[in-house]
Amino acid sequence: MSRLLQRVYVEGADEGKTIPTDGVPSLLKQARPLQEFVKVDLHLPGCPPPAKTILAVVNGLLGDGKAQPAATTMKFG
Amino acid sequence: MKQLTIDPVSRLEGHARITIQLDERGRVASTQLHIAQIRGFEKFTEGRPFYEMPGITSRICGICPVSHQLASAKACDAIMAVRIPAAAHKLRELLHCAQYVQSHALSFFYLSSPDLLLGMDSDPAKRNVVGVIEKHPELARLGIELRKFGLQIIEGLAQERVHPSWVVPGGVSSPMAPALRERTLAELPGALAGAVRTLAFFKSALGGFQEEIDSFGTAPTMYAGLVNRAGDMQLYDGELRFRDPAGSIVQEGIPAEEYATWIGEATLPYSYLKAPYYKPLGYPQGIYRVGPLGRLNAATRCGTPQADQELEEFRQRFGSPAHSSFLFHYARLIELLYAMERIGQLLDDPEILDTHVRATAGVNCGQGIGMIEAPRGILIHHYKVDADGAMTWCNLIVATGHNNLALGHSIQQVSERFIDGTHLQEGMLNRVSAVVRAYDPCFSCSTHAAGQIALRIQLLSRDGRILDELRSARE
Repeated sequence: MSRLLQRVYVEGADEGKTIPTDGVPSLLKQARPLQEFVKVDLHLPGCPPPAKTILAVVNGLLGDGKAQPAATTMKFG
Repeated sequence: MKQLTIDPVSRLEGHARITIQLDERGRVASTQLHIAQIRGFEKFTEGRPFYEMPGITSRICGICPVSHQLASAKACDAIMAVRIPAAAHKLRELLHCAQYVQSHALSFFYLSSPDLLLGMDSDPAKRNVVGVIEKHPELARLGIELRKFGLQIIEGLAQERVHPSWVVPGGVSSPMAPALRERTLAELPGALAGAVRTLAFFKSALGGFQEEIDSFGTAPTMYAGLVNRAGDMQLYDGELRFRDPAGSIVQEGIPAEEYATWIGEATLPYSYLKAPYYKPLGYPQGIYRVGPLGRLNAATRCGTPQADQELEEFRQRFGSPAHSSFLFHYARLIELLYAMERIGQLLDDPEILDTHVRATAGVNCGQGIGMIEAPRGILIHHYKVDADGAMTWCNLIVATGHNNLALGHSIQQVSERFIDGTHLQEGMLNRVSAVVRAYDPCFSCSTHAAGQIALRIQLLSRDGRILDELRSARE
């Protein structure tokens, strides 16, 4: 993490070569997945998930309350 | 002394916090804009093959992924040392114009129109896109339709609306389908009329915002934008031009490869967002603005008939250069019109359907720089690679960064004009947020960071106690 901050704010600057600390939070060492902290009912793959997948999930919830989209929509790419 | 904090600032992209120091009499002493996030694309991309960079850097932003892909692909073209086929050049510009339509429509209708249509002092619980749909359904529908027009072109060309993988080093991966050209040409007159209507509406409402025009960041600065040799505004490809506050061209014809000669970057101790400046003037005197207002001020003209007519009227009304940052909204709508007209010009060019759309090559240069006009301003991707094409170094200067210093000045001016610390009201603080929104900043992009749409304002005593706090509803 310090290498990143050094790279961006010290080596990557022409002026004020210091790592910002005033009024900005320090960074965590790692980003952890959401499911380590809260129970996740369903994962929708994709960045972003395709609109059809989101629609299928919402329709599932509105219908029988089970948000289980077709397996074909639950994949990347 | 008291301190106000706006945290988070709402209806913009990413996280921002504003602190406002008040003196003993409740007047504004100083202000600071804090960007509290960084993701580190410069570092974690080391070792990746350069041709993955358009896909990786696209994830910097969900609103302007296309601009990042294009800047990235241009840097990759330079590493391969290829000149991309003419049709690919035109298709990339077409894609980018469509991106402008969707991004500018989003900024105006979804993020800023609640302030403009419902009023700066209106009920904050309703001052959002849902409130606009309730009170002005026609305009809300128009905003959705305009955005859809842009998104459908992106989807038609690139198969996906967000993070498509169609732009590749050397060009694009497939030619344009003739049916898409026909369909888009058929829909264009309606979309163009919508852009004209939006502009007419904005101009008719402008009289009600004289106070904002007079106080929303009016200090003269330099302006920067990409133009062609004739001085026409360029969204996809062009050379960098700087104009001074009086309107004289101080430098032009700067190609991407020379950006570092003219643009320096300063680290601010209180923000993860660095502040670029015009190097010959040094920091912080080298302050300049980019984005819609910066582009229209920097360019000689837009280069399409209707947009140029509107630009002429704009300049007669507000001068050239026009300095008030409230006019970013106006400039954005002129550009919306320009992007539509340009889409028409590109589709009328028979070469747009040419099937030769990709050049192939390996690593022929150790570094490459891509420079483009993203909707929010000049975007620069600079990569260095080893002989195998693995990334060894990366620098990204993102649109919102260029406006960092100007944003700070604008926040100070609006705070001084509207905030009375003895009698704090939400509408005062909303104006501070609204001037930030006028720039349509993307803080996620600018620090290449993850975030959600949000803003918060706190009033602190001299010893740091929180006296009052306004937190915007998450929208």
